[in-house]
Amino acid sequence: MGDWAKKAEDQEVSKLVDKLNLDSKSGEETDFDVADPAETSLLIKILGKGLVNTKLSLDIQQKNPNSPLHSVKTFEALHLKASLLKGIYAMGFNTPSKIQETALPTLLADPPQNMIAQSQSGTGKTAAFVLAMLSRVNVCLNHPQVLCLSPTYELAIQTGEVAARMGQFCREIKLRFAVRGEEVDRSKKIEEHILIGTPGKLLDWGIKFRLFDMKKISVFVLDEADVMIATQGHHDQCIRIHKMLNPHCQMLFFSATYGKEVMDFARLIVADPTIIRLMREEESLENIKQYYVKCKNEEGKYNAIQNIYGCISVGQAIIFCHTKRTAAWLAAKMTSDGHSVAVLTGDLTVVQRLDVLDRFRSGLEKVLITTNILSRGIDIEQVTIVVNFDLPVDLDGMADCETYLHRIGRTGRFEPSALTRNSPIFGVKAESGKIGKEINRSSSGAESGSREMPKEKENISLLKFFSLTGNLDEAWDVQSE
Amino acid sequence: MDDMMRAMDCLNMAATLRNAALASATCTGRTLGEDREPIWVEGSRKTPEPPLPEESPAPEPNNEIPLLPKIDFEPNISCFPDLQAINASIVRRELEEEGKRCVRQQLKAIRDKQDAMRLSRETQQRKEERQRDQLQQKALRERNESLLIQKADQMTAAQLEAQQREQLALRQQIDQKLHKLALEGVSRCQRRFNQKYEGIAKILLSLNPETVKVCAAQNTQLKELGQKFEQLVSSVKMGNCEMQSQFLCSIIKAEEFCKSLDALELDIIKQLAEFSEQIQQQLKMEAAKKLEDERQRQQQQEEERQKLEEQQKLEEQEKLRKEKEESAAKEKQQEAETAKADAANVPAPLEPKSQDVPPAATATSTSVHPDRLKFYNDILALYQSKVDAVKPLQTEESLKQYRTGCQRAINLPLNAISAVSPQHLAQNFDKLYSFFAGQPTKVMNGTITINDHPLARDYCMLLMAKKFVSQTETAICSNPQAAFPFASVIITFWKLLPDFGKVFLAYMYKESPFLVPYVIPQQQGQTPEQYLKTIGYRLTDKNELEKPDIYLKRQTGLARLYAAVIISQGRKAAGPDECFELNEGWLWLAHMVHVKPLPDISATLIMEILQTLGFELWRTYGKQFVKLLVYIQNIYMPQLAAYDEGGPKTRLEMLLAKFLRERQIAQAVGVLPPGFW
Repeated sequence: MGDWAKKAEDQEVSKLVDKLNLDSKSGEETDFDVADPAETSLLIKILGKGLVNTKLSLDIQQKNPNSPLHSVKTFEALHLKASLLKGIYAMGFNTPSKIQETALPTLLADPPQNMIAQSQSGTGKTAAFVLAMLSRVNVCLNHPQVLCLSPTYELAIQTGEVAARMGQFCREIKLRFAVRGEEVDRSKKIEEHILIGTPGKLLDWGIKFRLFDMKKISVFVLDEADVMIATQGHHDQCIRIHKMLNPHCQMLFFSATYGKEVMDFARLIVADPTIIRLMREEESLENIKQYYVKCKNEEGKYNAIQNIYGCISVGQAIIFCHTKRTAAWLAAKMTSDGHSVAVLTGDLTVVQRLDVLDRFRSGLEKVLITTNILSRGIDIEQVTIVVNFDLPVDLDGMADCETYLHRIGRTGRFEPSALTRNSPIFGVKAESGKIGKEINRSSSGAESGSREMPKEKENISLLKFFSLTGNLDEAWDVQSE
Repeated sequence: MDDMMRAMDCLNMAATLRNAALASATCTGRTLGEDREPIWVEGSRKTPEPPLPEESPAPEPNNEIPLLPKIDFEPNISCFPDLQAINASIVRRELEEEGKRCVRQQLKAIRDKQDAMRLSRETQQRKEERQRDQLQQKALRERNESLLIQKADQMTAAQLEAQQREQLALRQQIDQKLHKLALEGVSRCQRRFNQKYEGIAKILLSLNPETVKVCAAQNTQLKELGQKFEQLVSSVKMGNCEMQSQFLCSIIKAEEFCKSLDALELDIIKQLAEFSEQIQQQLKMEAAKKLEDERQRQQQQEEERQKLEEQQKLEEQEKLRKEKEESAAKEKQQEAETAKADAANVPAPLEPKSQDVPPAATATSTSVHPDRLKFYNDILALYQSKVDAVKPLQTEESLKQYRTGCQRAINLPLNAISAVSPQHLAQNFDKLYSFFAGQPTKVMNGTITINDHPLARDYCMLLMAKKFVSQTETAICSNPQAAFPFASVIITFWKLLPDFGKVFLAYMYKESPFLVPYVIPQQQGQTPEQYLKTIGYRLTDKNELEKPDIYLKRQTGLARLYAAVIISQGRKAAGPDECFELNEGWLWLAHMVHVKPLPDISATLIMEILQTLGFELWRTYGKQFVKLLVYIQNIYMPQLAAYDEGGPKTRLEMLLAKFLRERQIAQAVGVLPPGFW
């Protein structure tokens, strides 16, 4: 019965994809997809199940010079409760990620310290502040002690799931969602220890209905702040909640981006923070091989993709296109050559996108062709190649370097494999421009340093391969022992 | 209380010692030393001086002189049952008796002199009687002669007068002697009296005004007593006494005055003792506080000692544990020695080919079962022979284009393998298999076939096996269910091309010796980097050793593919023949729990095998498998805990507890249903 239902759903999704192809044929070539920030964050949250290791350095600014700031290399060094440590291990963690090893000592410090942390999704910052939330709870007190604000219902659910998994062995800690659809008994005080929800709902519960005392909150977490400030109502609600809190409350502020608006908002919310952020310049380049291939036309670009699949081991691939028309064309061509292909564009609803992404993550479709609807990329570990079939440009037609970084912007998990993650860019001569130059310089920098001879040969051969313009005369040799 | 009694005893002994000293000086004529400083003022208790030796024995009073009254000096301080008090009182009594003896000796001397005088009187009286008799005889002669009688009378009268004169002189002499003796006795008493008087006066002067007020009454009595004694001395000096008995009375009075002074001194001592008792109480309180502090310090010291003892116990426990480990290691060595003996007995079937195997692989170790080591060496031997065979094709420059074509023919369909649909999976398998069957395949510059070169089949077999294994790190390690479509294709090729299966295993074992399971030991002189390479670690582009988490991730993918191949059935059309069956999973688990555990990697691999194969193993082996799980939980995990702590071990513990609690293991996600393609 369940299998039949699943198959039916799969057929439904396939039909949707077919309809998408039909519809896109009638669309104009210049029709760009525009991503909604909340939807993007939600997709990233849902799909980012694993933990991405990062070699980026962290910029740390301390407001309290007397506080010893150190990194922890193991979770045992944090001296957590045994049940909490067990929960961390049950989630699959072995050692802290880069931002965790730096943030956790501050998050768990006594007396509590405020923090502003900027890091991409998938680097473990949700797990970091959830750990702080669970550690700070005093189960002897039957009133809310921790507030966690998320910009949307779906993002709040995601955070709650992480908390439930990490705290699965801490039965005495009670958690409750303050989101739409969650009704509360207004004649009774709330006794759960942790509240995770959206700003509007928490304002209603705390101020309008007075179901809990804001002054008794000891930890306040504001997650996805960059998405929060995109909605004016949320921005105001967060400030109202913040003013109701006890000045001794620990304030934690997390964001995936580092724009000026976000940092101004952060400093308004958080007093005397320790600021941890990923250095922008080193954000994306470590352990990512970037290659540039000049092609004459779309057909040439397609041949380049086939050459890649013919030479190296590929897990799964994401290919970015400008328009729905290009995406549909490429999908049809790759399917006819034996690939299992999924297409994701703005025509799909969030639920439909999730279905497509679920199938992609489970490995059924091994190629995902998409547009800027996923401008920040998604964190699927088995994606070993990201192809910018069309160069990322903004609505004015200028090179969009930031979008390019976001597309490829995750660090590779497996350092030893030189080809673990690749990011070729195909473009006609007129489009090379700025991005090409930057990439060349970055690639040169990335390739500096000594290497073993076989790997160097391997890399050089690949460079030769990609330097061709549509014709292939050389290939990478298989190195047998 | 004891302190107070000691203080009083010390004071009393001091007084007694002074009496003894005075008496001794009086007897021997020696002078006394300096006055002792008051003990109670200083607050220190000195050991009392030992009693002075007796100058002369104390004679018993002479009963022949009953007229003289006996002077009895009884102690006026009651004794207490305390041992120290008893000793002190005994000493005090002895000293007092000694004092009394001295006085008695003086009195006895005086009596002896008086007796001597009486004796002389009696002698004189007898002489007088004799003279009277002689006179009577002379009277008789006077009757006979008238002239001689008158002359005789005159001579008698002259003699009587002379005798009377002599008697008077003797009496005067005796009186003078008695006077001298009285003066001497009184002067000695006066000396003793004055010294004690001065001592008491000094004591009173040295005290605080407040303390002196306490002894005001005694001070007044002291003055009166001093005045009376002075009057007595002056009267004795005048010599107004006409009777002999008055001399003795003066001596007795002097003694009485001394006695009164002693009593007064004792009274003052009592008052001071009472006053010092209050001070002693305060001192006691302070002492009690100090004692409490000392007790606390002692308690702290005891606590520290207990901590040290606990640490020592822990160290001993650790030593015991190490000894147990050493004994276990010895047992393993013994087992290894027996294993070596067994291995030596087993002949090597492929002796000529085994020479090509690296010598490290043939070295028997304590971390692999002999059967598994033999299997491992056989697989590697086959692999090496094929690698050597294809070298001509590998190195020929003119064949580079052909090699590239072969790579495309294999990589394109292999990279596209997916379980999206049975048709999709079959389509990509068919592309691969038809290429191996010799069918022409389109490539960039035309078409190629595997028959274009005699070595191409082996070359493509090696290449395909290697590419399947590399999928463990691109897809399978991050997505467990991705292993099953690949495993299904692998097992199908294994059935159709048996050598392919062995070559596939060789690549797997090279990447992960733990799948043998073979815990390759570290050779002497081998650096950590070199050793870690032998167990599967890789170097990064910067020639750095990869991080343990990444290594574990890759090993996870390899274990998943290994397990998936065991339970995959392959294509229906390939037939029901089995080539790599479930017993391989059982063998792996059974051997894995008997080789040396390594941190993280042992727990990680066992977890992956159980999660992927557990459902099938439980269904097939039933209670035997449950016993194996219990063995792992109760016997293997404690051994593992000696080497390992952290995430993987904790997760394995939780997994075992869950399996045994729920009495089932869920089927792995992504397993292709029977007859899927």
